[in-house]
Amino acid sequence: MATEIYLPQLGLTMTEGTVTRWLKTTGEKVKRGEPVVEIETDKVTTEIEAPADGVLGPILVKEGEKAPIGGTLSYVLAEGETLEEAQISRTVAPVTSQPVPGAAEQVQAPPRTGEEIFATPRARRKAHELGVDLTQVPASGPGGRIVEADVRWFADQMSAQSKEMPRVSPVARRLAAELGVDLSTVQGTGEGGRIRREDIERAAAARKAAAAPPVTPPVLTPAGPIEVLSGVRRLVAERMTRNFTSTPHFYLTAEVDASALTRMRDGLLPRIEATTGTRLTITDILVKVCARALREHPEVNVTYAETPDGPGLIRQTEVNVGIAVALDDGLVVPVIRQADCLTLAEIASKRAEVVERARVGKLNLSDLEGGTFTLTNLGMFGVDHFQAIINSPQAAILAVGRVRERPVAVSGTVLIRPTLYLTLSLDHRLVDGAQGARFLESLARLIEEPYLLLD
Amino acid sequence: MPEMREITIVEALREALAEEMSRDPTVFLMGEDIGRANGVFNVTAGLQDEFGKERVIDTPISEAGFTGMGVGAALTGMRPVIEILFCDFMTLAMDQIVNQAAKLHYMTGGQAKVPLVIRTLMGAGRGAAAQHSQSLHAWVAHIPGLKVVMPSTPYDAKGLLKSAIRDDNPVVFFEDKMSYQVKGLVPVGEYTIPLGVADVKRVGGDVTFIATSSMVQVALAAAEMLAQEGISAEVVDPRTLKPLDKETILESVKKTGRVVIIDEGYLSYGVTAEIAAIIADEAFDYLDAPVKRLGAMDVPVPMVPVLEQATVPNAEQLVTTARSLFGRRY
Repeated sequence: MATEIYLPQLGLTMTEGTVTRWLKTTGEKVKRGEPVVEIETDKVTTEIEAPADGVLGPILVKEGEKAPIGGTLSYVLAEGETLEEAQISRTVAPVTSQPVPGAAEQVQAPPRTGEEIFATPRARRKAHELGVDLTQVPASGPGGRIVEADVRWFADQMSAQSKEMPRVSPVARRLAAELGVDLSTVQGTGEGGRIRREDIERAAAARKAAAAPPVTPPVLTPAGPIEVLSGVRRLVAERMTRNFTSTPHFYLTAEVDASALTRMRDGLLPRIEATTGTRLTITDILVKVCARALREHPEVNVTYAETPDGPGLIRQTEVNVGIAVALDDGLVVPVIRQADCLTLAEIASKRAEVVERARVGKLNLSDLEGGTFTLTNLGMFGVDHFQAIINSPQAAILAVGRVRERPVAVSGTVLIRPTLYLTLSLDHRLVDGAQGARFLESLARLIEEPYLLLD
Repeated sequence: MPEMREITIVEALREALAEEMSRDPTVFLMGEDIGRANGVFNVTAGLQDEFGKERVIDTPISEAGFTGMGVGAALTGMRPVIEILFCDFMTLAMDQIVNQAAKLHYMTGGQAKVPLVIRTLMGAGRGAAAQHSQSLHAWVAHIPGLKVVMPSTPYDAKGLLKSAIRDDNPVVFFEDKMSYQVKGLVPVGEYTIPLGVADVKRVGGDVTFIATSSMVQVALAAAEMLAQEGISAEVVDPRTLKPLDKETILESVKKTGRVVIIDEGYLSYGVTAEIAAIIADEAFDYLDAPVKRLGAMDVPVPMVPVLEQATVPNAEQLVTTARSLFGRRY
């Protein structure tokens, strides 16, 4: 019997995946659980395992091509079985179009028309109850049927989206209808994320550019064709826009004396390197400092939550510190979980390990989830200080600049001391100025007197 | 909680017969080899010694004759419990069962009643071949005027047989020959189970198994196997086909949205089809997957054990069928 290898849903924001590498070739023996294909999503690169013992069937989505969630990538066939038999078994799954080898578009879940929908009675009843349009719902049931769980999942997605759905100006709405632009795909740049006329025009132009590349330069961009963002870059663009436009930020900055911090790092570095092989960084110590300060200030270790009754917050019990890591084409924030319970050596090795995996694109979803606070350090790039965008729904992010010798006034005289600038960005819905200031004060104290970490 | 002890279905049935005979002098037994031979499967062991030859009557091999005597005795006010050893032999007494016992109360405008119990055996598994291995309960469940009971545990067997004997209608009571040694807890004292009340043998949330008689154990085994995979199966035992407890069945199906009906009768035109039709009719909007059925293969039951086993649904088949109702998990 042919067993389908399909693209699983690896995260809530995932809608499609790209096949980056086939680890097995057609006709090659595979064992159940053995990785057969490498997939890249907007967040992670991961391997998909063979669902059964057998030989790999024809490859339906080639390397570099995309497939939607649930799209068939190949089959595991019994030895001697041919694709025809596999295709016969596919005819009971009407949602995915006939797999034609090599044609990625054919594998995309097609927009279904009314008479082609296969949904269970229970799913239809639930769809009716929730006002869900079944033509939009991805099917996960046997034989490609839409089942109740699909409808519930889709409704959840819709309600999550509609809460985030920005307002649209009347002109933009009319223009969108005229140009056939789907408002849900447009990122608003107006006040509070409101979609304006310019956004529609830009979306229409981008669509045109995407539809027929390469194009003659459109009017709006005489410098060259518009490049539609994809992958991590696109995700960063969408997230940052949303975070920055929907989160009321305020900023607090302090310059702190880094003498003790650098001394501590220099003293611990050879020791930790000898035991773990990892070079301790200022960032590692700052992770520990942040974790400690967050324990002292649980009011900052919170996340924002929308509720039916309005804005809400979740008091996080764990202190999980994310570290912003620059990639060639974007940025990811792997999380050091329960950083308050780890030693510096543990933090350093954990950090070195996730950063390395981030750079080679091997992060798992679990590496990225659960953060309650974020640390971003641009000191190594010679930045003195900067303001970061909060990684919502977290309440705060700490932006750290470089340690540099600067003139400091101490008791009426000017001294030269290594200092660094801390800039906290805080979500004013969750934290007020005074609370933020007390948290920053704790951070500063722990940096200036790091032995306090031991009390 | 009443005091309980563990006994077999055979023992439970014997207790029910003995208790009802002690309680009501009109109750008597008739059948082949039930007295001196103690019953072919030992159900009536010792009862002739205890109640005498007048109340535990050995008959010749004459199903039509003693079934007719049972109908007649019932009409005169007795409560006969007759035994048709294998339900395959009901064929010989069908006129008495279908045209006489089932009809007389109706045709006399309610003046006559036929409080007759017909105990009979169903089920494959003993290599008894095509004429001694069938499960023909659907035949009698098809007939208005007959009640049909199919116990799966000692507790149910005793409580239901006592109710069947006290019932004023003809009741056909099916005992599965392979389940006779199934053990279970049974209260020490008096109790009855009303006819027409299903029992949820295992509570679950993802899929409903509606299983009768011999298939209840199969369904419980399959539910246990599925639990390892994170699928929670509910097992509903209707216990009586007529009257049928639709409410309990529908309630479970509405909860889970998926259902497999499993019964040892032949699949075609059988009990599973009837229950499936009721579900399709009354719980259509709650179904999240097609209604599935498992029954005996539509062939004469073979004698050779491996072939015989292949004709009867088993737990692995039920697991596979149940799994097919679940798609990809998110």
